[in-house]
Amino acid sequence: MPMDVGRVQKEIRDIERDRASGVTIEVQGNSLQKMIGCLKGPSDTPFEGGTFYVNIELDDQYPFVPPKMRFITKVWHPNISSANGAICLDILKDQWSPALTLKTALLSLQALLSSPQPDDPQDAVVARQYLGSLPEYRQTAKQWTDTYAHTQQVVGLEAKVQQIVEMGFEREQAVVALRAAAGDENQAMEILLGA
Amino acid sequence: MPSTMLTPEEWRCPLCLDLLFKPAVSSACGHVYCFWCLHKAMSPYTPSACPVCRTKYNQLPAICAKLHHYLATQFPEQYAARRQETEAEERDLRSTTPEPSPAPCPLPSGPDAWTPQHFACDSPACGKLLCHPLVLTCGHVIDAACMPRVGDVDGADGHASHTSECPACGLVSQQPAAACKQLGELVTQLFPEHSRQRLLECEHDLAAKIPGRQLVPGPQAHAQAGQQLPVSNQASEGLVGGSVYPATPRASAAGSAADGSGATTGDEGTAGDAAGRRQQQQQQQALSPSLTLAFRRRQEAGGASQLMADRLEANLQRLSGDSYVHHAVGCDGCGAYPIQGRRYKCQDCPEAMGFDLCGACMDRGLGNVVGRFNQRHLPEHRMHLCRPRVTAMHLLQAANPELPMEQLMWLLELTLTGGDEEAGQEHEATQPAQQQQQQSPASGSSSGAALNHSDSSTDTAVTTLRRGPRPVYHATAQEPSPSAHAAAAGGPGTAGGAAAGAAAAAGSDSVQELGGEAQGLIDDEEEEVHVALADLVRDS
Ligand SMILES: [Zn+2]
Ligand SMILES: [Zn+2]
Ligand SMILES: [Zn+2]
Ligand SMILES: [Zn+2]
Ligand SMILES: [Zn+2]
Ligand SMILES: [Zn+2]
Repeated sequence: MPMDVGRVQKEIRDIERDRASGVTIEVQGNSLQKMIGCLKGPSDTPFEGGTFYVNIELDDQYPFVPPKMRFITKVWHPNISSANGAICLDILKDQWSPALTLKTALLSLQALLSSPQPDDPQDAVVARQYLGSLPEYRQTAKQWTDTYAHTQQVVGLEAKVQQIVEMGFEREQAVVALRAAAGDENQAMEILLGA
Repeated sequence: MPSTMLTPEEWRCPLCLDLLFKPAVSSACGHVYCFWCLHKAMSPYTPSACPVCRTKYNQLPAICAKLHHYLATQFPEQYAARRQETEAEERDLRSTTPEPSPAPCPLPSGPDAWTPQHFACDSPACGKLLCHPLVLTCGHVIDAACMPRVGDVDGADGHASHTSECPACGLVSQQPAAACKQLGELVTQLFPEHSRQRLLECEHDLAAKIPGRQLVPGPQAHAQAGQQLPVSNQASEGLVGGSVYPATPRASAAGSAADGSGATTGDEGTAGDAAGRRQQQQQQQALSPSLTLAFRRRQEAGGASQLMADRLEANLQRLSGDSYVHHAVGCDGCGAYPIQGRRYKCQDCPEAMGFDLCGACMDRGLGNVVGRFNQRHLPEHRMHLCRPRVTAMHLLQAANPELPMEQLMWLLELTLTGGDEEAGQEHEATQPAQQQQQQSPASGSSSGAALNHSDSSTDTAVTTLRRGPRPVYHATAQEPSPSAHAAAAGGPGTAGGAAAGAAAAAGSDSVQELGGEAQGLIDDEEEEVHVALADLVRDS
């Protein structure tokens, strides 16, 4: 079954039209299979003031299987891997419904930032800290937000990705390296060349 | 009057996000989708969940003619565009959908010229303006007050259950229908005054019906007069449903009633039932010896796996009996999907999609039927009883009876694709050159790993499966290991979980079966016991 391109286009148009929702999306390339979502850290959380980028990949079966989502921006959160941005959220796994959309999924990620679910962790270390010492967790999460999720640092991400792609690397590699380097393209190149 | 239900925005399909085309209504909750969209969203393994509200349903509804005619007349250009799109897609799928029967009274020449006759109840005894309209699985639209009711079958909770037998065509829905809010709202907006009157009438009718009066008993209830439970067709279908998915919350009172009265119903079934039952026993006998043999050999091979083998055998016996589920095969009579219990396949329908009936529809005897995908089935066509066949999903189910279906499906998917992205992420970062796991199963990191740890005992593999509540997600993210595919292919890791390997091997076939159904290419020569079982034995 080929991907329902019509539906994905409608979803993107819908996100673009609804500025108030606080989430945006940027298509990568022409296939509509890869995009980067963006959401603001919710206020009154350690993520406030941060801008978080999410790598999105759509399977041919989308929307009958969930979109693959993973944080590009480093996040300190019990349900998000501090190492690779993998997300543990039921609607992105077995609780996905084809009536959900990229917008509702991104909004769910925003909600997840506000209300961690430490009983079903993705990152055991963060979860332990969250359950054991909440103030410490908040402090680390805020530090990470300040270090990795500040708008200056990820501004022009797409331009940096392009720059690296032009040097002959795969887009995916570029995105991963830039994430690992917190948006620093020189460091990202070092990572790529060292690998 | 600027009425919202008269604008296309209100008739967007929640799945394709476009104007509904050939609308079909999930009868148990009343949500509306394009027929194709709803079909694509259904689970081939279990009752499906409504994408919007997650209400379980187990029948693929037929297209609702009334809604179809409304949309086609009210939004002619957009509907025509949708038709073009859909028909192009149908050509790719080599399948079509039936054209809904013409409207009983001439349609208005243009939008906004509706009369109450266009929204009349389909019950032959009524024909009045719709009020609390239920769209049944057959696509007929019936007032809630016009549905036949049987008396209080349960007694225990004091709830009267009404059958969902369509007064227009007699088709039985397995679940009670819920009102279609969108259609109800449209009717109220079009004819506010008339609707108010009808509401009063219907409330009155409903009030008179509710206190356990047996207005239209099911056919078998007549035969069993004096018995404590009026067992309707619906109840006996519910029996089939109820016995395999005990964990599924079934709102239907008939379902639970049938659970309690299973033995009685079976013994006192109609002649058709008895014949079906005999055939079914034959099937079981045909299946059992080879299964038993397979497992005896497995046991002779001895070792720590015997306990698991016993358990698998017991569960497989259960799965291959009355409650056997024909994954990815639907009934063209009542829409049951997947078919459970007996399945009959037409030998003569030429359509690529094939034509199948469930045991209940076969027993009922249908004349000319237009299948869900426009197959033109004729009464003289030869129907062939299909034997159950054990696939990867059946094996997974047998090995993990306590895991909910969602997780089994998730597991199967992981087993088949050799893992999803999360599983590969660590690798991605360190070995960017690595290709898709599917392309290099031997080296690919895999979520199948959860099925297939490097321990050499099958028990371990199964224990890993059972660890729940979500055995796969975390284990694999940190611990990539050879994929189940590799194991099945005799690659590294063959020593690990033979059952998982077997499941994966069978899985690739079951995928073929899925693909086959989509293209209508299911093979008729179904093997009694799948190759995978032989693998299971050999690997030990
Ligand atoms: Zn649709
Ligand atoms: Zn629903
Ligand atoms: Zn009526
Ligand atoms: Zn009907
Ligand atoms: Zn049927
Ligand atoms: Zn036929």
